[in-house]
Amino acid sequence: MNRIQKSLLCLLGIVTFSGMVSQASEPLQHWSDGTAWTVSKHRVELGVLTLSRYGLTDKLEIAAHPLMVFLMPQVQIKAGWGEWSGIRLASEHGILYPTLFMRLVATKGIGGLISPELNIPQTFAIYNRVLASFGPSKNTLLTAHAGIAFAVNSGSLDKRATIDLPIIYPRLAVFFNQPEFDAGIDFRGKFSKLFGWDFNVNNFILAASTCNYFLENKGVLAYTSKKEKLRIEAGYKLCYGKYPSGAQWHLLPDINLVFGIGK
Amino acid sequence: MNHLLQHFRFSAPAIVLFLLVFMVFSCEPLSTGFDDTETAQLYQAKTIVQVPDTFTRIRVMTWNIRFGAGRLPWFGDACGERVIFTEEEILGNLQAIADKINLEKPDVLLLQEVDLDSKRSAYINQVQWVLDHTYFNYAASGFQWKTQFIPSDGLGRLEETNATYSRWPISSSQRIELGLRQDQDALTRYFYERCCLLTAKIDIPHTENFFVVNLHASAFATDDTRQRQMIRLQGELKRINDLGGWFVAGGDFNTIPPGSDTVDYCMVDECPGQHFHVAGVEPFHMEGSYYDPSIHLLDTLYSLYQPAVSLEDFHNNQYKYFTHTTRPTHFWDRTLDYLFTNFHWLDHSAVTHQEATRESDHAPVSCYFILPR
Repeated sequence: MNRIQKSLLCLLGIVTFSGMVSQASEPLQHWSDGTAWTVSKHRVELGVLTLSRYGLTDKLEIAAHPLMVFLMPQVQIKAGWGEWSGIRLASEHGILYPTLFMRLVATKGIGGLISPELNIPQTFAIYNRVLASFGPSKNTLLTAHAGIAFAVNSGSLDKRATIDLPIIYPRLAVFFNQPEFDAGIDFRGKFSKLFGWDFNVNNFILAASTCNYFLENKGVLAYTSKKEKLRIEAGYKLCYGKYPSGAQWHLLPDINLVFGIGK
Repeated sequence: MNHLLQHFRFSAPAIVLFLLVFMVFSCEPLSTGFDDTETAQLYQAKTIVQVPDTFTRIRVMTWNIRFGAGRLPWFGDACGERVIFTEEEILGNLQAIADKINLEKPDVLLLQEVDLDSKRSAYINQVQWVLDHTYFNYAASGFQWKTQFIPSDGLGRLEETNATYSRWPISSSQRIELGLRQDQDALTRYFYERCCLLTAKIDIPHTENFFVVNLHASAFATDDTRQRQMIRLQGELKRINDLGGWFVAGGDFNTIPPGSDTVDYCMVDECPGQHFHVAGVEPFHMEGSYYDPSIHLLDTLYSLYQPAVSLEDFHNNQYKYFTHTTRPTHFWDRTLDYLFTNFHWLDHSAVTHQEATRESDHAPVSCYFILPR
């Protein structure tokens, strides 16, 4: 077992321990990104860096990114399917259109993330994911998810057009090699009414590629305002991936700000 | 509040530990800087070829191989539109380079612009590739450029090295920082190349304290960067010389010889749409194409040490010793590549391989070095 694996296990232990020592407070149905819970009817959760969500009904939410919608439009629907034996089930279905973004960054000079010599065809991807959430204790929530993504391109997308950066690469990789599978767990809870944590691990597996495996582990501490109007998360994101240049680890800060409107 | 503190008391050690655990993870910076002197990376061929110990002279060759891009029109140095080459293009050019090396059979080889994991050259480890496709047994390399991601022109990851190859073991090797350009803004400088000297001590039987010094000087600096780099080179050569060592120093000095007929290549090198030598318009000269301020930078090397090509020979027929051109379809038009030693070259053995026109934008230069015994 190498140092990274030992550290990850240690972290998992720490977070689990933190969850066990925390005391009961509020339920966890708000700020439900990454779980089988959906946003309450007519409630909006506006994320600055993540998807913003709106509850169409108590069992159906729609999500899009407020800043990236004009550059990389993405729409996602999450449907709650009910609860059986304490396990809540939901499914997510999304569509992503990255062509505008990729063409914008295929430019000369500063900001050029893709070589301008490469042609970017019309392209979009369809994501589908199943989520199952279970509450081991009153203030913790454990979620497992698994998904599959497909891409459709109007023409040949040159393999040199990849953006070989953590977080971005695995999310655009489906356009170069498909299908892409993802699976992972999310474990979150509250220390108190206002403070909590979220620890998750996500795996991306690509078919038909040597750059075929990516892992992301996020660990954040979260502050939630009394009336559930604001949530601030701060922590880290640890990324591992088999990039075209070889396997690499990255440790990045993870900060997010989400505003909640409605109950 | 007490409620909160109570929870914090329980959770604080866990949180501190949580953060400390991640402090031990070392993050590779976006662009890597280097200490003044660092140990270089050593390589070994998959198969070691036995070398007889009867050599009395060895052939030394220097070559800037342009990261295996051949004469393709790269945007950075040839007025081209290309940025990222395909694996087939790079492997084809590397094979041509290996073929030339295998034909000329130098015993010690100084290469510049050898990529490791670079997007522009299909992420091929060229140091190892050349080692495995020639008869060389050992190599050392020092980073000239190491950036995880350059957010400009789609360049992405870029790792470029100087590499020295040898039939004999390299017992030690160091990368020596040459100093950064000061005529760039801080952001550009952060992502830009960091020129270096690569020294390698090669264990040739019956020859002690033999060093190879491999230089790739700044090409486009408009300030005194190249002057500072030459001073650092001279200092390192003096250090080896004073310790009683023998050296061969060479590489792409990005400086023309003293007494060159032409010192201004701005009009030759300018790309379509560019205009230089226009009164009142800055820059007046093209970066890297106006050599007049650096025309005497090599005076000290020529006066203290033995050049493979003497100044007299060069002045008698400059055209014969040209090693570089910026234009993909043109013949060599200036001399930038050199070999010097503090011992002896075999008389009249220097060759500027001007026939090698398709492998790189530089021609290799070779000469026979007489081993000090």
